[in-house]
Amino acid sequence: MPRFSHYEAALGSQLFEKVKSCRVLMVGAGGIGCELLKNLVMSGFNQIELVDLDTIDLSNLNRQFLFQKQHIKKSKAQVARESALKFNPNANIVAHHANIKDPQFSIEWFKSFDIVMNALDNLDARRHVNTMCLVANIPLIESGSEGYLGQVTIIKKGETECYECQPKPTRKTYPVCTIRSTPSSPIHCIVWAKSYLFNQLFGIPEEEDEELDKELNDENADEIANLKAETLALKRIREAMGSQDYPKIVFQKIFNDDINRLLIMEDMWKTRKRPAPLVYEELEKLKDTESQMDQTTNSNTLRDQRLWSLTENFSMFLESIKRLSTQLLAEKVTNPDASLTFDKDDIDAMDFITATSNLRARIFGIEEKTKFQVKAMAGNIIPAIATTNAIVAGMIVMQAFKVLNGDLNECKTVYCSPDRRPKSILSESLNKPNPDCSVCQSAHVTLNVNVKKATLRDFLKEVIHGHDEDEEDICEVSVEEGGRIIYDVEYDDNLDVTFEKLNITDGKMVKVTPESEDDEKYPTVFAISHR
Amino acid sequence: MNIDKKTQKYDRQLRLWQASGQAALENSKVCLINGTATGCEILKDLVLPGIGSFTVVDKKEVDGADAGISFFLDEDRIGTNRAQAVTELLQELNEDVRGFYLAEDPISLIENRLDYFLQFTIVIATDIPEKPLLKLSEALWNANIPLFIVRTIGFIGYFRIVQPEHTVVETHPDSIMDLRLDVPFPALEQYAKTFDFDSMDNMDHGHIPYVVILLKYLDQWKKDHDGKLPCTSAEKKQFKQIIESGRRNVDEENFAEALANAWRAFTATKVPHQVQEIFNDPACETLTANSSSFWILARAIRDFVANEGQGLLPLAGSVPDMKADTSTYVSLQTIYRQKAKAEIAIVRSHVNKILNSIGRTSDFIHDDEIDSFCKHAAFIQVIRYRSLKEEYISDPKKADIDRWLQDPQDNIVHYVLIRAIDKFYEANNRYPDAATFFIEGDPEEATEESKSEFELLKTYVNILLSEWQITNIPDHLDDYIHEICRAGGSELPNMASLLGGLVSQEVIKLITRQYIPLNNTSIFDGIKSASSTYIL
Repeated sequence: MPRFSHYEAALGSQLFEKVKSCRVLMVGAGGIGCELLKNLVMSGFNQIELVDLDTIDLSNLNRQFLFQKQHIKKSKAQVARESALKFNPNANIVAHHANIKDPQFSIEWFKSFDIVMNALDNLDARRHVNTMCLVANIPLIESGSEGYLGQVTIIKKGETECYECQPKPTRKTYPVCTIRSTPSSPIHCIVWAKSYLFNQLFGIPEEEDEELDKELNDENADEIANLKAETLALKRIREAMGSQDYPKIVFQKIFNDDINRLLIMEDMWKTRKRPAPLVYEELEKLKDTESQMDQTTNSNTLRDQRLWSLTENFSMFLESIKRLSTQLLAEKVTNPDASLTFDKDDIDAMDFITATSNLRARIFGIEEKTKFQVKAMAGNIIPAIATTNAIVAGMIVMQAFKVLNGDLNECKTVYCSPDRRPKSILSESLNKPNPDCSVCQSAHVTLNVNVKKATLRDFLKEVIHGHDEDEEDICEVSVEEGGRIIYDVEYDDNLDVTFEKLNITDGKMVKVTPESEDDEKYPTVFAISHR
Repeated sequence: MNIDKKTQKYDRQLRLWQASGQAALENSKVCLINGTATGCEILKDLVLPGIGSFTVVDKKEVDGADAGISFFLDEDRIGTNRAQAVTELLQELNEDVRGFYLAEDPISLIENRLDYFLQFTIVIATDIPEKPLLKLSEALWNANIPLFIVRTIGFIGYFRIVQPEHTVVETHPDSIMDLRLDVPFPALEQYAKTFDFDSMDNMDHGHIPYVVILLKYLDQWKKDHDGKLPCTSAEKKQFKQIIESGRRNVDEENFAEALANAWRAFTATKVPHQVQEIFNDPACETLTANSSSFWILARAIRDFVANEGQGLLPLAGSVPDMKADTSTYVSLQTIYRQKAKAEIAIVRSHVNKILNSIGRTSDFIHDDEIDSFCKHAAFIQVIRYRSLKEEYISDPKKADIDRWLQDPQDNIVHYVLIRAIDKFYEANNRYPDAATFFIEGDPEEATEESKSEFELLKTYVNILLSEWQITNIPDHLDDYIHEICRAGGSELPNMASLLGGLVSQEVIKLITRQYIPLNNTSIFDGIKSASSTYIL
């Protein structure tokens, strides 16, 4: 029985020819991606390019079955390709270990595909691929999974809702003063440990002055000034990294000095419980007495899943600072500007965040958390299992058959939520585009331009206004690229800068939105093509 | 692998079923009958999250079709034993899982050594004809071992779960809210009394937990209304207006929370209907030395409700997040927690009494099992399945099938076809021959041979329908016979994978005893991208 004859029989030879010859772009080689690549290869798809910038981590192996232990730290895209080729050596798979937002993946490149399949895990990349597919007018199959829930839908310019037709929930943020001075829940302590202290000590400190000034009012002027001074002092302490005393100096500063300083501000504690600073020497003594006693309790339970005692947090805090310092100093040997970025799967970083946030919680009388819980809260972890990804990937291919057959009207948005009986998989008709969507309702134009020569002024004059020489310099539009403002009515600094210097290069997209009221409200997106 | 590494490897799934679920998985022994593509996909999705071991029973030699359909088999394996080949490849997916195979014919094993299957936690059967299946299912049923029957044909997927009973404590409801606002216990009532709203400054007033706000206003309401709760919709509206009038300014989030949660104050705390049914169940009434811990605990809770609980379940003991200052929130948490702890202790004493009466020691049920049961008492579930014998022989759901079959969109038609194909097999010792079916699906181009094959299959459909006394045979049935046969009765890799995901998810629910599994048959139509569940 020749390979794929069963598919040829099931699909009919006409559609099966399309399956064999179509060019597929797969974005993402993670949980859904591994399943999808296997399904594509096994279903007769022959021309596949896949893009993923990630490398393989231990926590991927419970579901990303194309990867094994020996592949940890290697490129997901490349290993996925190699593993899949074993099962169909004749398939033509091109792997890119790269960011889908890189300029090499231009509109022209997108246009070279017949169908694009997203197997992504983040909003930003999904938005980008959505726009690229709209501009290139290529059908996109969008998918996602979270725990037992999964979803697949189709996006086609002008015919269906696009990824941005419905607003997406934004992530919760916390006022700086709550995080820095008056935490009242575990998440406040965790955010402080992860976003503030970790970056101050090991990462690239966030520019917080602006944030602080935003919250400035008559009542908290002193507090804000203090917070700025506190950060500055911490910067100086950072220079002591690597010294024997470093962990102790940091401890003293953040768990004692800073808390004592907070206590001076009596007004702050009129309606709140006063924090209780921790004393290094006392904890050290406590640790010694405890270690003399027999410590066999809790040894059976998973360390990650039980609450640590005060001294355990204390020891872990000191130890994890040492480990992270060693990590950073080692990197600095080759790169003096090196810094660490928080990674939820880095054991040292999670030990540090857990111990730090629990010590802070102790000070403020807030509930402490296990490392397992802290990880979920700090890492914004989305549960993921093989089963749901298998279902989602299977549904993607079913929809792909319909797209290739030209049956867009038969495509569905498919959900799986096994707890919702009686239908664990249900489908709905695709929605029409939202007429108010600023993304898919924009006009999309390819602009051939020499980015080395053309300036913003040329662009506004020649393209936006046509060749009207009398036109004034002030143009009632705003110009954006990748979320940054290049020009608007009150910001004309860039007029005589070339596109290249503005980092608007081949493949980038420039969005021009009319600002005057009588103009039509939809923006125009220019895809830059360097000539 | 050390514990830290293991936690890290399984991190993303531990978020779903915690260490207890993982431990259950790691202790499980799964048997797969026949290493079909679908069977391998199911095992793949179970080996990855780390079941204890799996065993593949299959005598078949790998052929070209297997290599083309199964991701786990390549052409080098052609001619070797299929059980061995897939076991070796599945084993590579996770070094923590042990893989075994038995290169014997499953049907003769069922005939001659039925006991062999009783060593497993779960048995998954693919491609087993009706007769041996019935025999296997009966043996497993008597031993209380779940059986999954799985089939994919073309774009159709089918699976059936067979076991006498499945009980779940951790059903994972959206939230466990047990605030007792309508019937506050003394410590809670006392605590609410310590708040004097009027004398508070604005800061404190904006931080009264909504539980306290509701308790206070409800207390006042009861005093004014002969001890009754707001009942009619006018009263409920009025109650909310009273809360609103107590709000000092619109920025008081705690009052907003109180208003949003006011309905909880009108909802009487009581034993939910499905829990009451569990209490009334004979298994709860008559305990024996063989009773499972679930039924012993259910009985202990029932005894608690009838006595100390005064008609109420043990308190769940958790408090949701709410606007409050830290110390107030912690006090509130402590009050609920202490009450829950005290009630757990009482339940423990009931448990011990019961264990003693059935001749078991108290360590048969651990404290954390009691904690969890008390916490989830309002959400516990018992699912009773129908046996395969009932479905096939003694009590088929004739009337239901007849009714569903009249709807041309209903997936039940695929069930009829799958059962007919089994009958076809039983009579001819082969499945309908794929090669004789027309490739393009155009009936005009059908060969004489394929037409006769179609007619033959249709005969079995008709036999089945007449067994069920279904006389009103819908027109769309013929189309579906064509459709299901177009794939030549064979598996398609993409469908195998999809069904693998669906089945393994249910297997995990059964093994971990978390979340509510399907009851009892699921049919998925890949063309429509929709699944249906039936009790057959």
